[in-house]
Amino acid sequence: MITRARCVTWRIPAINPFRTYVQSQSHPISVCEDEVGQQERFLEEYKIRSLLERPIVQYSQKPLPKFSLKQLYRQSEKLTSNTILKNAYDTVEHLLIYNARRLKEFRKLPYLVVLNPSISESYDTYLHTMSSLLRASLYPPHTLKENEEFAEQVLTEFIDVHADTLPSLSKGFSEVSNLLTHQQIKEFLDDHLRERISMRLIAHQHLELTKSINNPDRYVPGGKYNGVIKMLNIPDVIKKNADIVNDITMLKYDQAVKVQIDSNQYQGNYWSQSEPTLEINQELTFPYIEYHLDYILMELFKNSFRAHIENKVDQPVQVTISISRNPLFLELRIRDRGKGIPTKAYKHIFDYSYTTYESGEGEANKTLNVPPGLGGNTVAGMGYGLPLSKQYIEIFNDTLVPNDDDWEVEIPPTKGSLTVQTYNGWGTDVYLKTVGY
Amino acid sequence: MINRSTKLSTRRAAYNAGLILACRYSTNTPITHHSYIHGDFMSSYSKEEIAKHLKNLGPFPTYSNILNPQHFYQNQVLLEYSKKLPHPVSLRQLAGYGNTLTKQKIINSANFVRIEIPIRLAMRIRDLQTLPFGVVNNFHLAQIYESYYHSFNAFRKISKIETIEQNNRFCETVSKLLDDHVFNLSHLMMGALEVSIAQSLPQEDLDKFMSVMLRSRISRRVIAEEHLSLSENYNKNPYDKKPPHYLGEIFNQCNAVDHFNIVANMVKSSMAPSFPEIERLPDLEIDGDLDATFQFMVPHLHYMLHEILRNSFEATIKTHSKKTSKILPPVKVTIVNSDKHVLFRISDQGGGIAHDKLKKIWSFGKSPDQARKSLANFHTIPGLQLYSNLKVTAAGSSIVTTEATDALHASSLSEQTGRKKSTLEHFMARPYELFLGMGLPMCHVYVDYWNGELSMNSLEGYGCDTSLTLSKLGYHSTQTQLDRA
Repeated sequence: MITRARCVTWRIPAINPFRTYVQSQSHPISVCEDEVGQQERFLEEYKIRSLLERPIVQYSQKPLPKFSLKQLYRQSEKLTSNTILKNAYDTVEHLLIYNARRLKEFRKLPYLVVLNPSISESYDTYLHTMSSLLRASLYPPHTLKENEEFAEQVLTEFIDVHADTLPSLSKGFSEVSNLLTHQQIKEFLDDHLRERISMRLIAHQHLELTKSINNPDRYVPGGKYNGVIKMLNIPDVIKKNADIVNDITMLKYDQAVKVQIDSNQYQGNYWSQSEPTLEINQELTFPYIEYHLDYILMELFKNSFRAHIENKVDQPVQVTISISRNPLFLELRIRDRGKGIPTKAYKHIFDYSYTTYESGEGEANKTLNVPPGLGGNTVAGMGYGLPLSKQYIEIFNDTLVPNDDDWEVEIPPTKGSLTVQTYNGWGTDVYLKTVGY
Repeated sequence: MINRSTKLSTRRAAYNAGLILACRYSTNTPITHHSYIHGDFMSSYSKEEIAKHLKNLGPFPTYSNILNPQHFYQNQVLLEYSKKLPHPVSLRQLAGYGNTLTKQKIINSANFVRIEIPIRLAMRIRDLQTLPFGVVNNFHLAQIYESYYHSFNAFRKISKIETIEQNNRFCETVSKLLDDHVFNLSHLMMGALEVSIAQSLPQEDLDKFMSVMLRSRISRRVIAEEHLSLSENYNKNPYDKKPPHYLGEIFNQCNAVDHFNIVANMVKSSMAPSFPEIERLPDLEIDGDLDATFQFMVPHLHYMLHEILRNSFEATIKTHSKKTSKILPPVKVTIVNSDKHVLFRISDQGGGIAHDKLKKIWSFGKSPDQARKSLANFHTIPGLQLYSNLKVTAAGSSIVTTEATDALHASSLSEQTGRKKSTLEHFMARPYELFLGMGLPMCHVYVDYWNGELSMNSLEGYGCDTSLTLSKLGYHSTQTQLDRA
C-alpha cells in the first residue's frame, strides 16, 4: 500500500526568512521534498521571528538604571583607563534597557497608530539603535582604542539618530489625535520624552568621559568635571543662546531683542539701563549640563523675543541670575514685557502640540523654529518646547537623595522646576530652578 | 536510505495513501514541539541573528502591497465605512422572501452581498487596527489584516449590479474570494497561538477577539455562499417553484443518525493510524429519536460533531487502552427531537476532566507551553503553506499559489459536501496526533453562530457528557441570526 520512493536529501539553504519564496515546480518527488523542506524552512523562520521580540521583553523587564548628579560626578572622579571600559559596558546595557522600554511602549499602541508613517519612523529608529546596541553588547571594548571607536561610532550615531526623532513623533501624534485620547498621548509622550532625555544623557556622559581620558590636557584625575557636567559661566550661556535666537529673529523680522543680565551678586543694577560689567567672574558659575540649559534657554527666548517683536516692545528681556553656594542652587528668572499669555492659552502651555503660532502662518514660523544647523534641538513650534523644557529641568528630580551623608553640602528639598507666571496685558515671568552638588 | 522517523512517515503515508510518497526528514532532528524551545536564547549567536533581523519587527513587511507608509492615509476610506452599521438578516430574507426565485430577487441579493461584505470587513479591520501593534504585527495576523484589506478594497469598488450577466461576473469574484481565503483560518489560529506564547494579550481579550473574528467570518461566508447557491439555482431553473420552507441550496435536510455515523467514521479513520495496537475503536451507540431530521449546513454540522466525537473518542482510548485492547466502552449518543430544537447528548466514559479545567476548554488562550505544542503540530499539517506568499488576484484578494491549494484539496479525505471547499474539512481530516487545542473553542463559535447551545459536564473519574442543542432553522428562519457581523 505504501509506495516508497527515494527522496533526494534536502539541504536547507541559507535563508532569509522574510523573503518571499517561489514555489518550485510540482512533480511527485518534489511534492514531498517541498513539504518537508517547507516545514524545516518555516521552523527556521519561526525561530528567528519568535526570537526577535525577546530582547525587548527581557531588557524592558530589568530595573531602570538609577542615575543622579551625584553618580555623574562619581564617574568623573573615579575615571581611569580601567573604569572607562567598565563604564562602556554599563552604558550599552543601560541604553538597551531604555531602548527596549521605548520599543515595548510603541508596541502597545494601537496597530493603526504605529502604521502612521511618522510614528513608525520613530519606532524604526529605536529598532535600528536596538540592533546596533545588541551588536555592541557582543563586543564590548577591551582597550582605550576600542572604547574610542565605540564612542565615535555607536554612541555618536545613537545620539544623532535620536536627535532627529522628535519632529516626526510630533507630526505623527498630531495625525493620530483622533485615534487616541488626549490623556493617552500625554502619558506616552511624558514617559517617552523623559526617558529619551535620560538615555541621551547616559550616552553623552560616556562620550565626554572618553574625550577626557583620551586627552591629557582635559583629563583631571579625581576631578569632578571629566564628564558631561562642566563648570559653566551662566552669563555666557545666556548670551550664547540669546545670540542664536536673535540670529533667527533677524532672519524673520529683521530685528533683534536685547537681553539684560542681572544677578544677586550685583544688587542695584536692575534699574539702571546699562548692562553691568560681567567679566570673567567666578561667582556667576554653576556646574551643570550645558546642552540641557541651552535647550531650555533657547525655547524660553524664542517665546519672549517673539512676543517683544510682535508687540513692538523696545525694552530688553531681563534675565536675573541667583546662585547660592550653600545650599547649592541656581535660579533664573526670564522676565519679558511681551503682553503676557491670553488666559485661554495659559491653561495649555504645558500640553503637547500646543503652539502659540496661528495656523496659516506657514513658512515664517518654520524659520523661527528650525534655525539652520541645529537639527533636532528645534522642536518648538511643534508645540513641544515648554513641556520638554520642563522635562529637562526636572530630569534629576526622581534621583535626588536628600539624606546622603557622603556629601557635605546640604541638598535643598526643592528640586528642578520650571514655572510660568503671566501678567496678561503686561508680560511673562519664567522661573527656572535647579539644584547642584 | 533508512527512514529515521518511522512513526512520522507511517502517519504521513497513511494519511496521504496512494497520493504522496513516503519521505524522510533530511535533518537529524525531526520537528517536534521541543524544536520550539530555545535553550540557547540570548546566546551570542542568537544576539547576532536578532541584531541582523530586528528591523523585521517594523510595520511594513516587504511582501506587502497594503502595509506601506501611504496606508495610514488611504485608510480614511475605511474609517468612514466603519461608521456604517451592518444590516441584520434572517435566513428567510436571504433565501429570497418567498418560494419563487425571480431576476429581481437575485439582483437584490447580489447588491445586498456587495454592500454588506465591505461593511462587515471594515468592522473586523477596525478591530485589528485597535489591538496593540505588538499583537497584530505578528507574522500571521498581519497577513490576515492584509488579506481582509484586499477583500475590503475589492468589494467596495464593485459597482451596483443591475443585470444577471453582471451578477454572474460578481459570483465569480465572490467564489474566488471564498477559495482564496482557505488559508485565513489557519493563519488566524496560528496567530492566536503565537499571541498565547508571547503572552502579548490577556486571555480574555484573545478569546473575545477570536470569537468575534470567527463568527464574523462564518457570517460573511454564509451570506456569500447562499447568494452563490441562489444564483446557480436561478441560472439552472429560473422561476422554479420551491418548497414552503426552502432556505437555499446550502442547507440540506439532515438525518441526525446518518450524520453521526458518517462523522464517527471520519473520526475513526483519522485516529486509527495512531493507535495500531487497538483492534477496535469505541463504538457509537445511538438512542432516542432515531428518525429526527432537520435542515442544516452539512459542513458546519460535520465540523461540530467531529470535534465533539473526537474529544470523546480520544478520552475513551486514553483512559482504557492500557487496560484492554479489545472492547472499549462505547460513546453513547441520545437524540431528542422537538418542534424547535434538536438536542444531542454525547456521553463518554473517558475519565472526565477536573472541574477547574472544565471552564477553560472553550478558551482560545493557551498557556505558552500548550500553545508551543499546538503550534508545532500546526506547522506539520501537510499541505499548509506557511510562509508569506501573498499575491493579489483580479478579485483583489490575496492568495497563495494554486499548487498549494490543489495539494490541500487533494489531501482532504472528506467528501465535498459544501459548495465551496471548506477549510473546516481540511482541519477535520488532519492526522489525529496533530492536536491543535482549538477544536472545542471553534466548535463553540459555530454553535453560537447558529443560536445553539453547547456545554460539557464531567463526572471526574468516569466520563464527560457533552450537550449540544441546535435550533431547527426552518422554525427560526425569520430570526435575524446572520447578523453576527
